Amino acid sequence: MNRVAFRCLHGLVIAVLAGLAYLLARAVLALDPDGRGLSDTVTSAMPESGVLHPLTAVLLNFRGYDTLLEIAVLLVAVLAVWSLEPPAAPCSRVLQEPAHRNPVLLVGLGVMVPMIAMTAGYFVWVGAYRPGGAFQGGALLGAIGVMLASTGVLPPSIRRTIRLRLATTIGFAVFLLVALLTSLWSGTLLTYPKAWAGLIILAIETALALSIGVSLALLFMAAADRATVHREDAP
Amino acid sequence: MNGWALGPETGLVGFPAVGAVVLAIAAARGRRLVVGLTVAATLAAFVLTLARVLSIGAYEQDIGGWGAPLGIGWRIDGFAVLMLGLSVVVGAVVSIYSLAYFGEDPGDRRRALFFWPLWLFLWSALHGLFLSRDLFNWYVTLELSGLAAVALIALSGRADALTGSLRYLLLALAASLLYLLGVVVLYSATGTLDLAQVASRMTPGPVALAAVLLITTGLVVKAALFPAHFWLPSAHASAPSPVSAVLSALVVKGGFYILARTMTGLWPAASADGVLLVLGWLGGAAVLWGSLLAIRQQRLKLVIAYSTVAQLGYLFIAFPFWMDGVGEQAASRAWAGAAYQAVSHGLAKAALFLAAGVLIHARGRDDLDALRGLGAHLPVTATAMALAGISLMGIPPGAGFLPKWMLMTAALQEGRIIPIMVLMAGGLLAVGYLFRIFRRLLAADDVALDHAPPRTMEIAALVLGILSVIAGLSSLPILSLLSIGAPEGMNAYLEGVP
Repeated sequence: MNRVAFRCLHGLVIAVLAGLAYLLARAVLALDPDGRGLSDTVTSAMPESGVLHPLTAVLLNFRGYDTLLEIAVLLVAVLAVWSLEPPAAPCSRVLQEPAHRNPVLLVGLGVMVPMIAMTAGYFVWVGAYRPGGAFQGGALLGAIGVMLASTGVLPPSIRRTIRLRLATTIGFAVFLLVALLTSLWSGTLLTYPKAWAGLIILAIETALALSIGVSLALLFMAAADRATVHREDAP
Repeated sequence: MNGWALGPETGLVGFPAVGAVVLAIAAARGRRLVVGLTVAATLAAFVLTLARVLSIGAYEQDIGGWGAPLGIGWRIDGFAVLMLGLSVVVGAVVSIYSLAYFGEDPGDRRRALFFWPLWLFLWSALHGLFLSRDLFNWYVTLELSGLAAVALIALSGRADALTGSLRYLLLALAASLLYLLGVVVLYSATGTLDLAQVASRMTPGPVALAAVLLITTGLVVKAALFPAHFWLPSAHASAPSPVSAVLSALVVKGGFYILARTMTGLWPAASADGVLLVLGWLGGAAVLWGSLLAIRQQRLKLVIAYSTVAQLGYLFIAFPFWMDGVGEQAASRAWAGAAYQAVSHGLAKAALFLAAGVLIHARGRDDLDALRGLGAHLPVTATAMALAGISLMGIPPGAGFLPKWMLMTAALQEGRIIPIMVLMAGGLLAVGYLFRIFRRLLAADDVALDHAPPRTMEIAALVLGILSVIAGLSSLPILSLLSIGAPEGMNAYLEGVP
């Protein structure tokens, strides 16, 4: 693209965005400040949702189909990163010497990793009646992956074995299976039998937390790996 | 449940997703079997969905059984089924083509490992998009299809493909966020995300205007309407050929589809006539600008990609006919013409890109002069290109003729001269850029093939070429399908179709 065309386009983009910002500001001022959206509808449907926390009810039940697709987005992101990498990507090591030569670090890890894992499990469980759930639990599991990778406990290269691929996909797979089975049951996706809703949601959340954790850790390692390579390239 | 235990449309989203998961886990093992089963099951789900719509008319599905506004809803009407049909047919043919396209050399094997799960996720997301009537769910399907498309473009690993896909990623993200912002404004104002409910609760004013403009701007970038088309040629031309076919035939139609749905649903309440008029002008500009640039390109896939920019313009020429004060006949003609054009362009463009893949495989490069004399060696592929070309130029019996004719008669009814001139000029310019390909392809030069392309690839391209003529000959079934559950005010012309 030549310079003049680029300048014109640049100016056009700025003009359009400025116009949109102005209109948005006018719209926000005109909105009803006491608007409650759907919170009343959600509250009145809570008894049928199988859980006690409205966020979990919306994410896993009322609008569970959106969440199903969002998990697919995360899975596609991992596949996209893998497709751009060599088959067994070297795993970055932030520390120069591996943890097994550093007793303090090793003991620290030995205490922290089980604690974080337990907290992750707690978050998944507590999501039914308090803020928490698969995404929070998964984020903690991902943090374990980040710790193990950056202390050199994980091997220098991660092979995409079938076990790793299973762990990455199991969240989406379980969710999809539930969606299809419930559609056999009721004719539409994700219509849970009322009595079983709570249990089904817990099962989905557990599988989701595992996959989210593995995916986040893998994405971190891919990004950290690039950063390391870049640093080594620098003079 | 209207006597049907299982909604067949569920399979359109479900089966490709199952295939994607299986191939993501199992890698190369049993790939042919899994792909074959997925394609067969998805085709079957489509046939059942079509049968259901034909027997009971337009119907709706509440996912999770909650119903709007709490849950997400699907609406299965003629327009949705037509777009689903396009996606299912093109997707099935592209899948079979891709089994041969990703051959046995190590680089190809590696690419195939990721092509299949990514493509099947994209297929599933597109079906989700065409089924939905929920504004936020559309955002999610746009994200899923967009991200999968980005990864598929980058698959070849070449520098131009990485540039093209990164540019597409950044623009698609910005566009999605603009769209999402518009949806947030609508939700704050109306307390629902269901399209029909939002439409019934909207009143004209600053809120409606801001939402309409945010959503339109976002979707215009997604649909690559001039002047937001600049990401398209590099992305579509640098992707592997089956991916180019899917991107041009289906993915850009997603943005158009949501825009057409929201237009006919929301716009009356927003009274945004100015927006419709601007979209029409941009569509006209896209036809001329895209065609002119297509004529100037030196690489085969860039010619085809710029032709997509031009052909997408036709879809938007229909929009000003939905303004206040336009006769119902003209509005309805333009609406049906745009939907028909989306299908005919999809079939023809997919055929063209698949054929281009065959020619590039045979030659190992994609500049136009490499095509000289290939027609004699690859008559099947040359035929596929000719059939697709007939449709794109708008010559009967190609499927591209009738949509343009419908737009022209709509313009005549309203006494508008400019759309007619643009439509005619567009057809002429299409002849210009397509004959640059045909002239070389059918030249009498005596050349030898570098590689003999797999027969499956040639036949797949031909099947789509033939279908783009069949879609032109079967205008009555297509128009009567469109009339099932057509949006309010868009049925005047279709009612006259037997």
